[in-house]
Amino acid sequence: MKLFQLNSTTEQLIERCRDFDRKAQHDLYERYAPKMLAVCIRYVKKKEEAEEVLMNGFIKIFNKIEDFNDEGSFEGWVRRIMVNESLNHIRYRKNLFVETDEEESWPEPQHAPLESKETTTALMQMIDELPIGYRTVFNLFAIEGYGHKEIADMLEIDEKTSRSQLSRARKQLQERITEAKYLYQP
Amino acid sequence: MSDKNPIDEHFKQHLQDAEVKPSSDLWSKMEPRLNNERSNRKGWWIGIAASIAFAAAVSSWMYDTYQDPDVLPGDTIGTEQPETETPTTPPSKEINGLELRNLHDPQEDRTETIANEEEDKGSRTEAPRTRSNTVDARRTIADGEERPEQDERLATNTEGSNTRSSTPEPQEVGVKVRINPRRYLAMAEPEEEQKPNTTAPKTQESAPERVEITEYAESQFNNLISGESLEAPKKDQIKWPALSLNLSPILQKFNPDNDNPSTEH
Repeated sequence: MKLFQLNSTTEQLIERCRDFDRKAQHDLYERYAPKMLAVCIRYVKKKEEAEEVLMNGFIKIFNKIEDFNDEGSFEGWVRRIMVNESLNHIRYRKNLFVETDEEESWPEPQHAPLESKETTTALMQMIDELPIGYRTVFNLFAIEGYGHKEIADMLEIDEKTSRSQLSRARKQLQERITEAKYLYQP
Repeated sequence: MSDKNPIDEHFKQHLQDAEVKPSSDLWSKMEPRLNNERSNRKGWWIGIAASIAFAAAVSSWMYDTYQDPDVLPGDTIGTEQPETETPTTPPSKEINGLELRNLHDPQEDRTETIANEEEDKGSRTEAPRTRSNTVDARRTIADGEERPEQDERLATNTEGSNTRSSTPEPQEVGVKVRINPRRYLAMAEPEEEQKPNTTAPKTQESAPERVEITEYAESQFNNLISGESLEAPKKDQIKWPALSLNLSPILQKFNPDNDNPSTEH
């Protein structure tokens, strides 16, 4: 019953947002902003920039809410828009997918997460510390669930590049995780 | 590729629904931008509606103002017409008519009916008429007896140039207060009244349809005042939009004197 209620209100919110109901827009924002900011912040490291991206994403959502057909999940649609906005934001970095073999970009684990129970925070931080190319591909593939073909299209890179970036990201993350376990669970 | 990479799963499980609290003022920062987007949409339509309304208002206003020149002559018969209106159309016929009239008048003793007057419309000028009216006024004061034939009197009375008196008002001879529309109008602008014939051609030079309108209005006045039956023989020739504009002020002017306003419509 509660779930149904929630869903129905989401539908109602969307309907009202189609009429540019400011209150409904605010409710929708309240409902999705935290989660979507978490999405943005995985791509755009700095929180201020991520919030900028979030705003742009919401403005786009409110303006294009007509385009949302009720078939898919609304959250999926919102998330896609946020991801696209994030990619647009970081796209200006020319050397986004320069092969980053240099080990100096490997971050030193100076400040490991103090509270290991905050797994989410810790994992977020690990992703933050990835080079931008790794991070982007890993986010898209592992968390958002895009395939390599889609990723290659979105980022205008080779599919092969996408795969290699992903495997390197995994490798680095694996090391960071074991490191963290070693540090905090001796 | 391994679809179920443990690291992927691990991160996905924890990060997919992660939440980061945005700064509290983010919405307030975003709202004005939303406002813009929204007002752009609405403002577009509001702008269109406003411009349409504005165009309608302006056009109607301009319509009125352009009607005004037409209204004026009908409105203030004979007084304002000479000055305000510069000759626009060839006055040839009317001038001829006037001359004819002038030739005519002396010998001609009028038993003309109003219908006749209407026929002669081309020759009429406002100024002479008013003048003739004044003459009439004098005349009435002088001799109050011969009322029945006004036109005759006028013909004899008026000088050759001013000959034509189209107004049959003198009916109310005995009464000093005559219902003479032109006199009232003349009171409003007395100096116009005395204008001699020189002004007459000018008035006649004005657009033909205008003459028609004034003509029609005058004939109707005459009918009204003389108490004869109102027929509208010239309806076809009259421009109705102008008429509708013209008649109402005229009616208003004359309503206080004799109250039969409905007849003119």
